[in-house]
Parts: sequence; structure tokens; C-alpha cells
Amino acid sequence: MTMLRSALFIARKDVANMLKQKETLLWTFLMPILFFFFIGQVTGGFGPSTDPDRPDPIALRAPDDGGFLVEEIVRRLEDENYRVDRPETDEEFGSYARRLTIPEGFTDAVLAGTQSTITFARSGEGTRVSLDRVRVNRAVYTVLADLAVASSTGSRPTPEDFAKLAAMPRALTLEIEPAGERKVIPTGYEQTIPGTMVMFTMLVLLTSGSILLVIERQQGLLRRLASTPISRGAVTLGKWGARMALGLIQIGFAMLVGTLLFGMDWGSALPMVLLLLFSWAAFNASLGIVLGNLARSEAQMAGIGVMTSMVLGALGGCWWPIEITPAWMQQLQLALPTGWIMDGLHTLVSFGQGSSAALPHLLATSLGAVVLGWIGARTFRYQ
Amino acid sequence: MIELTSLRKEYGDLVAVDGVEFAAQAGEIFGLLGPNGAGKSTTIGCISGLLQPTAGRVRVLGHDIVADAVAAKQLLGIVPQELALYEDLSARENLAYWGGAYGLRGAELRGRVDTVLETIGLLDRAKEPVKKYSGGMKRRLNFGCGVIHEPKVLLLDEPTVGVDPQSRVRLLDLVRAQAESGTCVLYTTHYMEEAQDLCDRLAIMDNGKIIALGTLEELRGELDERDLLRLTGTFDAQRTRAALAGVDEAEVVHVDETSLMISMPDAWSKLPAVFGALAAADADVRATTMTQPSLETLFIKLTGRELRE
Repeated sequence: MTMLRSALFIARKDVANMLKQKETLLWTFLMPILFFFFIGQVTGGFGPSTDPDRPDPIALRAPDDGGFLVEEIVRRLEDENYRVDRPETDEEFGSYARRLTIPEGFTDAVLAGTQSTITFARSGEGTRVSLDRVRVNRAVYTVLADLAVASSTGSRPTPEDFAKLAAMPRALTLEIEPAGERKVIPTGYEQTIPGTMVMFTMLVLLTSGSILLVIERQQGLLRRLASTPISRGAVTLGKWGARMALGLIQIGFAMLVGTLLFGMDWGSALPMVLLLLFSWAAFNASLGIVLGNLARSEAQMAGIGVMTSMVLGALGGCWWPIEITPAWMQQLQLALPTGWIMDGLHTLVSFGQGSSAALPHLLATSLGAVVLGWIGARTFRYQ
Repeated sequence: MIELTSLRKEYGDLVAVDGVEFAAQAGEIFGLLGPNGAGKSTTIGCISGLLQPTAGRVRVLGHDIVADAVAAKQLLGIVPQELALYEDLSARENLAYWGGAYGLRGAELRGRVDTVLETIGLLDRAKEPVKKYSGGMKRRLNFGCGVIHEPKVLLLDEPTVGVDPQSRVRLLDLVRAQAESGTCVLYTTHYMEEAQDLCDRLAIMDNGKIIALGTLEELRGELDERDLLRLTGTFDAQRTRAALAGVDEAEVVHVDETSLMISMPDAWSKLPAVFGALAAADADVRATTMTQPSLETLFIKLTGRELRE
């Protein structure tokens, strides 16, 4: 009990001390948000584009006299996995990333053979914007194609003609069967938020967390601590606990911001996601102690911390979805701790699998945390 | 209060501390004196529990520092040579941290922090981060952190290294006040004057061993009130020794090609005889200094070396 109380004392003071460092605050709280936003935007922004459970919102502005062709376009957009909203105000309409405007008298004009222009506006840039253009074009072109078929009889096309065409079996169909379980590669915030969170947790614990240990050793603070009645075990446990707490603070903050500001959905297996991230914080707290024991100077530790987290972050799938990388890289990911955690998170969050699917990831990370923790305790030095 | 018995610390083949023994009592300032590398800091390391002795025992009020570490350390306070302070924390926060490490909590801790801040003269700047303090203020805070829990035995490891004269005087006053309140103070230094002014008893260390131990008067007594004559120039060691053998009560402490040290009572009156003997030995003397009996001369007499070498 005394040992735990002493460890708690050390951990509490260390966390308070670490949170006084400007660098820690910057990399724990500010930089992850910026990374979420910028990388998330570049790689696609909100949500997946092809997940049928989560259609992309698109704002439609169409006049009351738009006619039945407007409804046909809406149906085709829904087939393209869009959720078509009809905002009432201009301000609300302008707040959408995807905006489709259909002119007055659209159906009458088209059926009369007059050229009519539909306007599609899309905020942002990147591959997702191009993909939206393709999807919206496809929705409009299929309406035009059916219009051409319905007009071939010589009579004016009606909504009933379109209903008949929709009910008719298609002469030419393309059957696509997945070779295995269908996996939608996470993009946008769904990739960026977990990836950035995982990498920054490692970065902060291997820099701020470890550097403080090096500074304490260099300035004789650990030697002074060794002369107090606090046992070596309690000191080590306290130092580990402080880094663990910092990791959890960072993860908690990132999840909160990811959810509230960026609409991140952590999936239905949230308890397992939390367990996985808990083990990740433990893993990095242990690794931070080990590296802090080995480093000889502040600069050396900063270099080791940044290099380790950047390289492992890139190879483990924190920067981009590992599914888009060559096969050898995907194999390599399985040997890296960042790979374990990212694969586990994708399994739970993006691929919607049950908690048991991430059990191997949890065991590997937890075992790594225990082994490194043991090494950290064995190699802990006061001077 | 504190007792060292046959203390030994080895690092491979190197014996850093070799059979050190002494005891110090409540209210006493016990000085551990010696040049850099003499084994003082290693001895302090063993006493504070940072280093595990290879052999021997350290007991603090009867508690063995190895077998009963928690109880022994609770009675010890340490003021290290380096400024072991959290620079981003304030003086109050630093004191609270180290007080907490010794188990102080709540009102008791707050009370002790206020008392120590007043004692070390930092009450008015208690909330400022330590990084804004002057060197002397940091030294005082370093001292304060060592006494926050009112230790029975206080270890000070060269606490005045690099301190300006004014701060040194203030720091030494704080040390004296601790002893007056009944604390046993163990003070290591390589400043002879400081040891002479401050310490009730002294142990002189060299090469890991205690080579002299006693009160200042007892140690001076070992010198027989002999002066130390230091000469520089050109000397033939063998001929110089032979020539000086004829000078009454002259004892050659050290001689090499460029320097000579002679211990003798009332050296001033015997200078003509010394110079005569050296001339006969074809020595070329360029400079001469005479030092009256002190710890410095005792150390030179015991080791043939100066303390700061």
C-alpha cells in the first residue's frame, strides 16, 4: 500500500510537471487537431464515400416546378449512396460540402428539348472531390439515358414510363462478386484521426516523457529521489504511471476532439477500442522508460523519440491506410507495434468487426507493454 | 546518530572507499575533507543509500541503511552538490515535492514549507519558477529541500561549490542553525577554510581512506605547530635531502626537480640555514612562501600533495 501511495505521488507530480512544459502541451493538444484537420481534408474529409450505412450528404436546391425528372435525379443520387437533403435557407445550403442546383421548370424545359444546366458545387480538393463529380455525373447521365429510351416511342415521357423502365430487367448487367470479405479502405478522418492519435501518443511519450527522465537524471533529481524513503520499485512504477497517464490524457483528448469536431464514429465495439488504446498508452509508457534509461542526453533522446515515432508511424499505417501499400509493407506492418494497433483499430472502427477480432492485437500490445515495462524497471538508473 | 563501520565500496578493481569508519553525534558538524577523487562523494552515496556498499555498515540512529532503508532514509536529509531542483516549478512547489517524498502531507506539509521558505529567505518569491532565481537563491532552495522534513542527520555534499561569498556566508549560517537545533550535520568539502570555520570534528580522506580524524585542535596538534615552507626553483632531490638533514628539525615533505616543501617549527628564524644548505646543494631557488599550521599543511604533511591538486 505504501509503495502504491508513493508511486501515485510520483506519478501525480510528474504529470503536473510534464503538463507545465510548453512542448508537451503543443504536441499533446494542439498539433493533433491540426493534423486531423489538414491531413483529413487532403485525404477526403468526412466519412467514407462507399459505406452504405453512412451515405454522404448532398444539398439539393430545386424549385417546386422542377417536375418529376428532379425526383428521378434524387433517386439516382440515392443509388450512388448520397443522402439528399433539401435545406430551406441559403445559409444552410451553403454549409454543405456538396451542393446541387436544378433550375426552374427543369422537367418541362428538358422535355421540350431546351438545354438546361444543373450545377454541382463541391468544397475542398483531392481525390474525393473528383469521385463526387463522377458519382453525380453518373446519376444525371442515367436519368438522361432512361429519358432517351422513354422518348423513343415518340410520346412525351411520363413518370410512369420511368417507373416501368426501372422495373424492367436490364438487358446488360455487370455482376461483381468480391473475392473475399469486402473491406472499405478507410480514408479521410476515419484514417487520419486514429493514425495521428496513435503516432502522436508515441511521439509525446518518447520525447516529452523520456526527455524529462533524462533531465531529471542529469540534474541529480533522481539521485536526490534515491535518498528519500521511496523505494526503487515505487519510483519506477510512479515514473511509468505518469507517462501512462499522459498517454491516456492525449488519447482521451484526441477521441473527444475527433468525435465532437470531426464527427468520428468509433464503431460499435467501443469498449474494445478503449482497451486497445489503453494497452497502446501502456506500451509507449514502458518504451519511454526504456529509452529514457538508455539515452545519455536530452538531444539524443529527442532524436531517438522523433525518429522512432515517425518511422514506426509511417510503416505501421498511421500516415496512410496500410491497405493501399504494397504487399511487403502490409506484411511488415504486422511485425510493428504501430501496425498492431492500427490494424486493430481498422478492424474495429472501419471494418466493423466484433471485439474478438482485435483480441490478438490487444494481446500483442499488452505483452509488449509488460516485457518493455520489465526491461524498464531492470534498467532504471538514478545516475 | 550516524555510524560508519568498515565501509568499503569497490568498482571492479578500483577501491573507491576503503574501510572508512567514523561516528557523528547530534548537534555536531562533522567535516569530511579531501581532494576531488578522495572518496567523499562515494561515501556520501553509500550513506544516502544511493550506492550499495561492497562491505561494512552505515547506521542512522541504529537503522541500517541497507537492511532497514526506509526507516534510515526517513531520518536523513541530503543537500547534493548539484542543484537538484525542478526549474519550472516554484520554490513552494519544489519544497512541497520533496516534503511529499518524505511522507509529509496536508497542513503539516504546508506549515513546513512556510517555515523553510522563511528560514531560507525566499518567502517573498515563493511562487516564482526556480529558473528565474539567482544562483545563490537556488543554492538556498537546494538546502531548504534537504531540511524540509526536519531530518535528524543532514548530509551536505560540497554545497558551496561555485557560490558567491555572500551566499556562502548565508548558507553556512543555515548549516550552523541546523546543528544548533540538534541535527547531526555531515559536511563534505575541499575548501579548508570552510572546514576550519564550520566543523567541530573532521576526517581527512585520501585515496578512499581516512588519514586523519579529530577536532581541529587535535589535528593541529599532529603538526606540532610546524610551519610549511614551499620553494620553487631547480633541485636535485638526493642532494637537497642530504643538505637539509643538517638543518635543525627540518623535515622534507616533498621534493622534485622544480619544487620543495619543508615542514619545520619557527621556519622564519631558520630561513638563513635553509638557504645555506640549499646553496651547498647547488639548488636554484626562485620563489619561497611560508604557511603557518593549518588543515592545508596537515594534508600536505600527510599526503605530500596539496588539497586542490
